[in-house]
Order: sequence, then structure tokens, then C-alpha cells
Amino acid sequence: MLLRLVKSAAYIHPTTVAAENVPGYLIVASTREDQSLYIGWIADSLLGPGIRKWLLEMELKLVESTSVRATGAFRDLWKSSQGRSHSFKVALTAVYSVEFRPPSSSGWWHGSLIVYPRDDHLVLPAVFLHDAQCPSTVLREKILSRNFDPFDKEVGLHWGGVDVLNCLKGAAELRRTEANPSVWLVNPTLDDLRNYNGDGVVETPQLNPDIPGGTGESLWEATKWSVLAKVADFTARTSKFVSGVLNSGGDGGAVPRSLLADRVVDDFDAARVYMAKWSLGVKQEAQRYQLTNRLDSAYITTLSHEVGFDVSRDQQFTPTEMNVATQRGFTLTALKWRSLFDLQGRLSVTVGEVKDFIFHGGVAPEIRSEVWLFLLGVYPWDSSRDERVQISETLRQSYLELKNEWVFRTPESYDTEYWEDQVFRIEKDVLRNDRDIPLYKHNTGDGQTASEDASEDQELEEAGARSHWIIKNPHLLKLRDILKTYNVYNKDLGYVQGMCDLVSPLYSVVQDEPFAFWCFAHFMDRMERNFLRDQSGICDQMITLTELVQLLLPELYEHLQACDSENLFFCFRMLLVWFKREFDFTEVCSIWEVFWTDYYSSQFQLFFALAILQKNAAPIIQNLTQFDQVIKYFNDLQGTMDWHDLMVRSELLFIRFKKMIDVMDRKQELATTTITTETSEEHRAPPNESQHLRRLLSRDIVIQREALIADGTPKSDLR
Amino acid sequence: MLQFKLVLLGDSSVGKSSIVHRFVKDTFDELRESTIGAAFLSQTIKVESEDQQEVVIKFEIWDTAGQERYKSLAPMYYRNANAALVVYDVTQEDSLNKAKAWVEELKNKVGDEDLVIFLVGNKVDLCEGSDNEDKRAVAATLAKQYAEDQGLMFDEVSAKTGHGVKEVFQAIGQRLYDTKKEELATRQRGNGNDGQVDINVPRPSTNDTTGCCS
Ligand SMILES: Nc1nc2c(ncn2[C@@H]2O[C@H](COP(=O)(O)OP(=O)(O)OP(=O)(O)O)[C@@H](O)[C@H]2O)c(=O)[nH]1
Ligand SMILES: [Mg+2]
Repeated sequence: MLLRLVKSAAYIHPTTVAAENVPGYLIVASTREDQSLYIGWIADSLLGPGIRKWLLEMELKLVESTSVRATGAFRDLWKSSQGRSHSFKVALTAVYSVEFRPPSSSGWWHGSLIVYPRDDHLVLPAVFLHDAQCPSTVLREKILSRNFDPFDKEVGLHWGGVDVLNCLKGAAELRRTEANPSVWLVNPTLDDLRNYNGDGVVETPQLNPDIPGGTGESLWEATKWSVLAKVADFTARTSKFVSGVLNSGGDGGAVPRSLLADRVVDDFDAARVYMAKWSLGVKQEAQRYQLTNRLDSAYITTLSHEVGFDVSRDQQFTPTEMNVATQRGFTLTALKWRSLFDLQGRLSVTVGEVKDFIFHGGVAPEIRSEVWLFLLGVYPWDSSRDERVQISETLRQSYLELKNEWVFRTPESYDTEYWEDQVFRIEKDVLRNDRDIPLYKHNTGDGQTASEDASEDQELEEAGARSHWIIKNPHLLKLRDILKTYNVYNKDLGYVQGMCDLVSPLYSVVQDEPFAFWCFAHFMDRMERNFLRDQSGICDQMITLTELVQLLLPELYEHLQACDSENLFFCFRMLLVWFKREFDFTEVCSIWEVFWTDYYSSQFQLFFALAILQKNAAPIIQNLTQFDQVIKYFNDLQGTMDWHDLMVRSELLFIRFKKMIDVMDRKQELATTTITTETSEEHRAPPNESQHLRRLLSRDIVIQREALIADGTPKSDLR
Repeated sequence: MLQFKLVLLGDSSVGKSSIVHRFVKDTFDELRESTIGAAFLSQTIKVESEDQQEVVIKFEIWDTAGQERYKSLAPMYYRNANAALVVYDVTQEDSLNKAKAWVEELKNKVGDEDLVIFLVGNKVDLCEGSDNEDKRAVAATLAKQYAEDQGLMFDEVSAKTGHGVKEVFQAIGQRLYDTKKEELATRQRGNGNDGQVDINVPRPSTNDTTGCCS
């Protein structure tokens, strides 16, 4: 066991009488195996003089270092203290939030913190930090004032709670809530983040500015239904919290009491004041929202107008749908990602929850190499850490076997002419691939320097004018080997131009040849349909996209028809290599990982393409009249598009599409159950029978493989 | 101004995109990425009429992807073309065979006498100088003979050095102008228009529906 933080002079105040305060120690500790944190409080009365002395020493030591080993005696005490004299400990993973209430600057009251476990039934007492008596807080303050920078805006009032907060921040994602800035959520779920986020699009409550008095109660009354009810909509957790507040506020109609005030009597914050602050926080948040989000609301107005429904016929987007689609700021960070796994390294939340994070916020670059393995199906989502170790070994081994198949084969055993042609094509494409990014830029042995020393130049000279065709950059060599091995792995398909574009980002993120190969092989499961000899897979997608445009952007469709462009031929490249050429390298990584989630549809790339069309519909309709112009227009879009905005639009377009299909289905039902069918009612000529469109609602990937029939002629079939 | 459509065909990595960029932007990029689908570029040149007047010609150029697998898309691009540049790599023997296959296809599918086909051997810079002569895999005389038999225009170029590239387009422009000028003259007379006019000269559409998803 490791100690991370000790705060002496930490008191529990069971009553308002100061003499009855119980002294003790606030402790943050971690297990040694998996570093998971516990926070707890232990009563001074349980300690013997030896441990007390040792603990005080450790407290000071921890001001400078991040952890110290705990003695066996302490460990036993820590275990046995539970529940005695108010002592408690709780794993950080079981904590929902921590409230840090700073001391009053005038010194009227002490700072305190309250830990709220995820389990509602567990109520922990507030711990008051008597800073002046606490040696570690005093010492830290000294250090801070030595380095005091008057211009650093981050520096607030220092108190013991700040040290606790910083210690916890190292081990979990802590996020301050906007509604009550002293409350920090621990490893919040995406829904928590959405609800508590200040930039949220939670519908603005109609606050009446003329509310008399401004007492806590009236403000509370004014806001509770408009705001809390909305917040309550979102998650079970929040609604439980809110309904708890509402219930306790409701009885007798008098003073709303907070859950905690109920149980922990706290000498300064009476329940009424607490609630007033809380509701004030909510009110401020609402106002801040109105003030700062003018831009956002303009954006939302634009979106509903452009992507939205024909108001006379369809339903509008709900505020939640808008809210969810436009909030794309919560990236899956390393801390967050780690917090999602249990001790066995098994995912402890649903896959849907993880995918929600990735779909809406993306993956932080430093954990991509791990997360992508899950996203692409190399690691099963429900695997444990041990199982993954096993899987990696197997995969490395089988990669080697596949690779050896071409490395060590003899000329008699295969069609050398075909193979050499394949290798020739692969090498030509590898050499032309993404050479502007640093990893692949220099074609030299170390891949880092622009040109090599004189002896190498000599070699180049000998190789003659074709020397620039020799691949030397180690990463380019790996791309080549992966593609050659894939050629052996999927013999029917062969190498097709564009495949190099697909493997390149994977390799750049994973940077491990066998793993990059397996990522690629899994990615190709869904991409193979793009490379069939008869082009049937890509054509299916173009037809689907055309039908989507017909259904959702009928005006644009009509115009494209007039320009002979309704086959959307200009989208060919976008769909073939998933927008790889239209966006820059890092953007492509962000876009692909969203697609891989299959969050709404396994063919979300079509909605992204649709969003591009939608966004450019007006200029196209106004200015272009010919097939060539349209193609040229789309060629020139390269490098000019904002993928974030397009992703928001894609999501809204999907939702709209889904609603339209639902409406059609209901009509269908009606039509079959009633005898009289309304023939007069005009609806957009819908390709509603289309299997193409219906398939868009599925999250299962579409697999179409190249297959060679007996006589050797290629044929692609739908499996 | 006259406007002509031109399409580039030929095996992958023979240098189609490089030739177009040399012609349009006068640049060469060793690391240019492979083409997917097709790229569209345009450039104007001037040719001389019989009465020594300058005529501006605008080329609308479709640069296609070379790999066999994308062959079924090519008709989209060549179906309205006035000229086709069929490119091979003089250091790759097989690329000439691919070029011949393209010529066959154009003759069969387009079947228009007026379509100007220009066979181009690229990358001659690689076999310049006596010690590099062995890099050459296709003899110029061989390709030239083939071109003559088929009634194609022919030349060797280098997109890297720029050698011969402009001349190819110049020759195509001149040829197109010469074959079209009669037709143009009648039209201009008909319009009673004697100055510079914007005239599109599309080849009659072949009603070819071999496109991808049509
Ligand atoms: N030495 C030399 N290299 C050339 C020349 N033209 C092109 N290359 C090189 O050949 C490679 C392929 O050129 P591209 O222009 O991309 O070929 P492409 O025909 O457009 O190929 P696809 O788009 O795949 O059909 C590039 O790496 C060029 O650097 C040339 O005239 N001389
Ligand atoms: Mg090209």
C-alpha cells in the first residue's frame, strides 16, 4: 500500500458545538498493484502514539514526493478502522463527486470537503480541514508564496482542499460542474458531462427577472421546474439527485433541504443557504449560457434551418438531439479511458458508452494506438487484460506465419509474374504515399535525416537513375510488408490502388507491424467492397447516397439532375478511401475513428458525404450548371472543409433520416390496416422501399468480398 | 476561344499526373500521390490559324487513375473527349502493352474518326546518357512504328525535365484546330459573328452508358 496524501487536523463536526469536533486524518492511498486510489478519514483516537508520529512524518514527506510506502501496522489499522468513530474509506472509482468548500477568507469558517459515493445510500460526513493546525498545508503555503506569481490567474486562495484536489486529479478525471463550481465530478459519464457542461445547449429556462426579493427560496422556486426538470430528464443519476432535492424541499413547502444537510449537520451552511447557493449557481449558469452562447445559438439556428425539417411536415429536432450533436468537446482522454476498466482490465461500462464518447468527442492521440485496436476489432471489447496478452501473442505469431509465406517461398510454388506485378504496384504506391508527413518523409535508412552519408551516396550512384525507386525509410518498408502480407492473406482481392491510403494512418498510429497489419485486415473487412473488380460495392454506396440526396436534399437532387450529375460521380474518391484525400492526415484519423464506432450506422460515411453535399448545396445550386463544373467544384474542396461542423451535420442528417423512415413505416402500417388509403396526400416521392436505405439503419458492417469462381474469372458476391 | 476535352489514359505510375502538372503548372513532384478516380485540370494554349492569327485553345483535362481495377470507370471520362493522351513508361515494357489495350478500347468504344489519339512514351530522362541506355525497355522506333500503323500521333517526353511535354499539347491543339476549323467556320458564318467567340466543341455524345452506376 502506498500513501499519496495525509492531512492532519481534519475534523468531523457531528454537531454544531465546537468542543464535540472529532480530530483525525484525511488520507489518500493506493494499492501497489494497480495504483487505484482510495480516499478516507481515520479518527485520531484510533491511532497509537507510534503510528501517529509516523503519520505526521509521512504527511510532511508527501509535500515533496508523490507517494511513500505504508507500514504494515498502518495498513492493518486502515483496514480495521472502517466504521469506527466516523472513520471511512472509499475507492475513488466508487465516488461520484467531491465537493470542495473553501474556507471563508475572513477566517469565519474552515474549508471542508464532502465525498459523494456513487451508491446513494452511502452518506459520508463532511471533513473540515483546520488549515492553521495542519503542518503540510502550512508548509505548502510557504512553498507557494515563495514562487508566487502575481500574474498567474490560476492561483486562487490556497487551502488544504487544493492539495487534496491536486492529488486526486493525478489519478482520475475530475471535472468541475458549472451548476455548482465547488462540486467536482469524478470520472464523469458522458451524460454527466453533457448535463453539467456550461457550454451545453440545455434549453434556456425562462427566468423572470422581476422575481421579488432574491431570497434563496424564491429563486429556488423560480428555477426549480424550468431547470431542474430539464436536468432531470437526462440521467438516472441526476434525476435521482434532483428528485431527492425536490422531495426534501417539498415537504411542508418550507425550507428545501439538501440531501447532505439532512444527515451531516454542518455548522455554517444551513440547508436553506446551501440550496440558495445551489439554485443561484443554476441561475447564473443559465444567464451565462444566454450571454456566452449567442454564437452557439446562432449556429444551432443555422443548423436547424439548413439540416432541419420542413417544418410544415416533419417533426423538429428535440433540444436533446441538438444538444448531443453539437457538443463534441469531450474527448476520450487517457485518464478517462483507464477509469473505464476494472481490476482485471475488463471494460466496466457498456460498449455503447465508450462508443458514445468516441463518436462525439474522439480519442486523445496518446491513447489511439490502444483504443483503435478495440475499435477495429483486434481486441474484443469484453476481453480482460490477460486475454489481451494472449491474443497479442497469437496475432504476432500468425502474422509472422503469413509473412513467411511470401518471404520464404520458392519460385515453383506460385505465379511469379503475378506476384512481381503486385509487388511492383505496391512499391510504387508506397513510395508515393503521404510523403509529406514526418514519419514517411525521408527515404533514408533511419527515416529521419534528409540524405545519407557519402558511402550511401556511392551506393545510390551504382543503383543508377532508378535509385529513387528503392524504398529505404523503415516505416515505408513496413507499409510495403504489410501490404504484401495482406496480398497473401486475401489472395482473391490483390492489391488495389487506394489500399495504401488506408493502411498508412493505421500504421502511423499503431507503429507496430503485426498490429498495424491486423488493424488493416479488420478495416478491410468493411472496405473490401470498395475495391471489387466489378465496382459493385462502391456502386451500391453511390446509389444509396443518391437515394439519400433524393430523400433529404430534393432541391439539390433536382439541380444535379439538370447538371447530369445525379449519379454523384464526384463522390467516388471520397467514398473509396473514406475522405483520405479531402482532409489532412490528422483530421482523417479523427474522422475514421468516428466511423468505426458504428454508433448510428455502419455506413456513417454516407451521411458524412451527404453532409458535405448539404453544406455545399446552396453554392452548387446557384452557380453550377454542368457535370464538369460540379466535379471540378468538388475537386477543389480538398483541404477547405471543417470536419467538426460536417460531423454535427452528419449526425443531424442521420436523425432526420431515421425519423423519416419511422414516419414512412407508420404510414405503411396504417395503409395496410385501414381499407381506405389516402391517395391524395402528397409526400416526397420516397424511395421508401429501398433496401439500400433500410440497410443504413443497421450497425452491422456490410461485407462484400471478391471471389474467384472456378475458371479463374473474378466475380464479386454479396455474402 | 475554343474549348477541347482531353483525357489521359495509361497504366498506373507511368507519369500521367506528372505530365499534366508539367503542362499546367510547369512543376514536377517526385512524390505525387497516386490518382484515385480522376483529377480535373485546365490550361490554355495558342495556335496559329492559316492567316497567321492567334487562336486561344482551352484544354479541359481529365487525368485518370491507371490501375486496371478502375478500368470500368474510364468511359465516364473519355466518352466526350476530343483527344486522348495514351501514356506508357519507356522503362517498363509492359506499360506499352497496357497503352495498346487503351488504344484498342478507344477505337472500339468511341469509334469517332475525329478523336485525336496521341501515344506518349514518358520518363526518357531515365535513359539519357550512354551508361543509362540499358534502362530503356521500349525502343522508340518500335513504338513509333506501332503509332504509324494505328494512325496515332507519337512522341517521347520527360515530365521530370519537361522535355517534349509542351510540344505534345501544342501538336494536339493544332491538329484539333485544323480538323475543326471548317466546322467552326460554317458555324461562325451562320452566326454572323466575326470576332472571338466562345465555342464549345463537344464531340457528339456516344450515348455510351458503360459508366460505373448507370
Ligand atoms: N524520372 C522520371 N520519373 C517520373 C517521370 N514522370 C513521372 N515520374 C515518376 O513516376 C511516378 C508516377 O508518376 P505519376 O504521375 O503519379 O503517375 P500516374 O500515371 O499519374 O499514376 P496513377 O495516378 O497511379 O495512374 C512518380 O513517382 C513520378 O515521380 C519522368 O518523366 N521521369
Ligand atoms: Mg496519377
